[in-house]
Amino acid sequence: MTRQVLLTGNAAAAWGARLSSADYIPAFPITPQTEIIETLSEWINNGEMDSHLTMFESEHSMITAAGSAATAGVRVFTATSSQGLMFGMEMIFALPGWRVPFVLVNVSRGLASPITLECDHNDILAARDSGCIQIHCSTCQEILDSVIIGYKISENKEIRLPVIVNLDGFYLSFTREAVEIPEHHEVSQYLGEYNQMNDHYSSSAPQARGLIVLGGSQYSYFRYQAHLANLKALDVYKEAAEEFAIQFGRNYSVIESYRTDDAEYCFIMIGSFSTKAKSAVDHLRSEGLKIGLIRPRLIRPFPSEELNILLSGIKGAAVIDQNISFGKGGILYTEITSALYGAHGSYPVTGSFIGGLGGRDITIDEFIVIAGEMREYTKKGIQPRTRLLFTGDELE
Amino acid sequence: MFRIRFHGRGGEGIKTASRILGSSFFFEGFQVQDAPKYGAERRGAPVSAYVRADHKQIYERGEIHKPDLIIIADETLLHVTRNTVLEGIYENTVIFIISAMSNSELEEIINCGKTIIKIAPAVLPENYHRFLSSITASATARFTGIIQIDSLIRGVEEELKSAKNDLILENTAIAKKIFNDMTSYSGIVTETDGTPVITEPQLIDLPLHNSSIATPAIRTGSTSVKNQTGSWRTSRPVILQEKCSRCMLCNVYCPDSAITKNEEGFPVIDYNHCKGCLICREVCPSGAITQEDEKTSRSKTV
Ligand code: SF4
Ligand code: SF4
Repeated sequence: MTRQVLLTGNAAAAWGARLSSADYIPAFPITPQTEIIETLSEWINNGEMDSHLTMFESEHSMITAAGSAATAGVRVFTATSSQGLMFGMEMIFALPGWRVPFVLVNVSRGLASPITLECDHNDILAARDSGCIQIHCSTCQEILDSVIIGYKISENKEIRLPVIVNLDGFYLSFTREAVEIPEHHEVSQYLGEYNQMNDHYSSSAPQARGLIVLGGSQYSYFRYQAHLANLKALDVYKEAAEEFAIQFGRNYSVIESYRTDDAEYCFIMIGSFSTKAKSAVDHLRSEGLKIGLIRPRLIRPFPSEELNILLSGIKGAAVIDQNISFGKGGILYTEITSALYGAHGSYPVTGSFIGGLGGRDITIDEFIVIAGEMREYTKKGIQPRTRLLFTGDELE
Repeated sequence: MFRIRFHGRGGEGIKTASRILGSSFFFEGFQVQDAPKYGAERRGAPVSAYVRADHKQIYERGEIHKPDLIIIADETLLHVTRNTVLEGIYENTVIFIISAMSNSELEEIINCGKTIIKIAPAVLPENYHRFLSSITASATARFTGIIQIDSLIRGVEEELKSAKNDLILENTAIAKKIFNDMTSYSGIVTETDGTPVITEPQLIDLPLHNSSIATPAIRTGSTSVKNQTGSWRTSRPVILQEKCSRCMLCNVYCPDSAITKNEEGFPVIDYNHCKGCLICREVCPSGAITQEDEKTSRSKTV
């Protein structure tokens, strides 16, 4: 029997690791992630979870340990946030090349400077080009489920890449919602026996990872292999999600779409604020505007084809970025528009809105202003200029 | 949907209150979302918490800008973060406060023409601070008119399950009492259909400023003087001169530089800035610093 309980996003992430029977958990605390390792260590201490948790002196060592343990042939879970992810970034970029599976949960928090504790997506998007697969969540239930699905993809024999499951600090990490906790044995059945493949440690058969190759040819080969594996993860994800839906009844497509069937306009965004976009969609629909929401769950691999299918028929799309690439603009906007370029005969007027930096709220009122602006520019057939969601009062 | 916002100070049980209420709604079959909001600060700093409850899936998230009910667990906040506490009052908003002020004083200070429900500390047990979460959650549950006593008690038990049994029993007892006392207010907070109240924000184009303005920096030494962190205190350290050896260890360890030396060489606490962490009491080798309950000692001195 499955149970529904109120869980924070952090607790949901911990449940994902517990149900997936993670053998080893290298850990280091950081706000707003700490509750995940606190929860796991409490379970291990009480004998409710059979796992080993080791505290490290930094995220760099923690992520190195995650890769090393995965190489030794155990299922690994770890978690970090923001500056922690940045500190471990050398290894985040190195480990996909080791071709080792594990799941890392990142609790998004804006980067310094200035320092914040609150959420935006510059931390996780800094890992965009690392080779790790990225799944972005919008509810507490989705976090738990994505950790499980993450292992399924990560351990696939063609993939063998780390998976990062991303959730928003505060808006998910400390927010409780009803979450259905699947039975442990059902998750075990879904994931199957852990397959070590090449990843096992034996003193009689030593091996090395993280090698040096000079001359460029081998380097190109291995790097491109990791790229192909990452691309392949799109199909593997779809199969894994389908199997998940059959077994657990919850459906997670690579891109979530909400009320887009007959839509002329849409919001495009990732993360927890996309549920706010849904209430804006409901409100705007009640006033007669045909608008919907498109929310990519996967950022790497990037679901370009699926995006193009969903956007055909859309006249105006507002991309809302909770991040900023200084000197360019919204990262998601760049991703979306590059995926559109050349794909359609005509593509939608696409506007770039930057908001929700450092935990700043994006109010429903602002979604409505965005929709109004998109409507206006779409009618004129011109791209609106990039807008920061920022009011006069805030400059006081 | 019900949109309910709690205000209090770190350590007063505001997060627990919101969770008791959230769980009580959940046990009544509602979809629920509850969340605390706090910064990097410690006990005594202003904190808030949100509870949303609805019959369908909740898409809203984060701060509640137009609450149906505002709970003010600590009336001193009205002097410190008044605008935050009273943000977004609209025609249906009800205010609930624990306060020793008279009704007319309260109305004057809050000054918004809304229903204000008050519980005076005098009618509560002397140590009511220990039960603030159960008191506020229980009153709130009653105001909704929808939460039954069984769900409320289950909520209290669920959220306090790691506490000692005696404490849980004391909490459920006071929750029951408050639930009864508030009977006449049953249903005063009404569920709305969830339609958002829209006020159009005035977005601006942020211009480029000179980097001397646009650098996050504190260039004067006195900004922390303006922040009266003394209002965060829930416990007060008091120096007993007769025991003090004037070693000034307390001065060295005080993280807020709130202890200075007077002409006779005795330590003096600046209560405008002492946050009440009681590190000074911990380090004092002579046992010359005692702890008093802030609210009690404040009413003594006033
Ligand atoms: S630490 Fe104690 S004995 Fe030393 S100066 Fe402070 S109050 Fe006096
Ligand atoms: S309690 Fe003592 S140590 Fe803490 S801030 Fe106040 S004076 Fe300083």
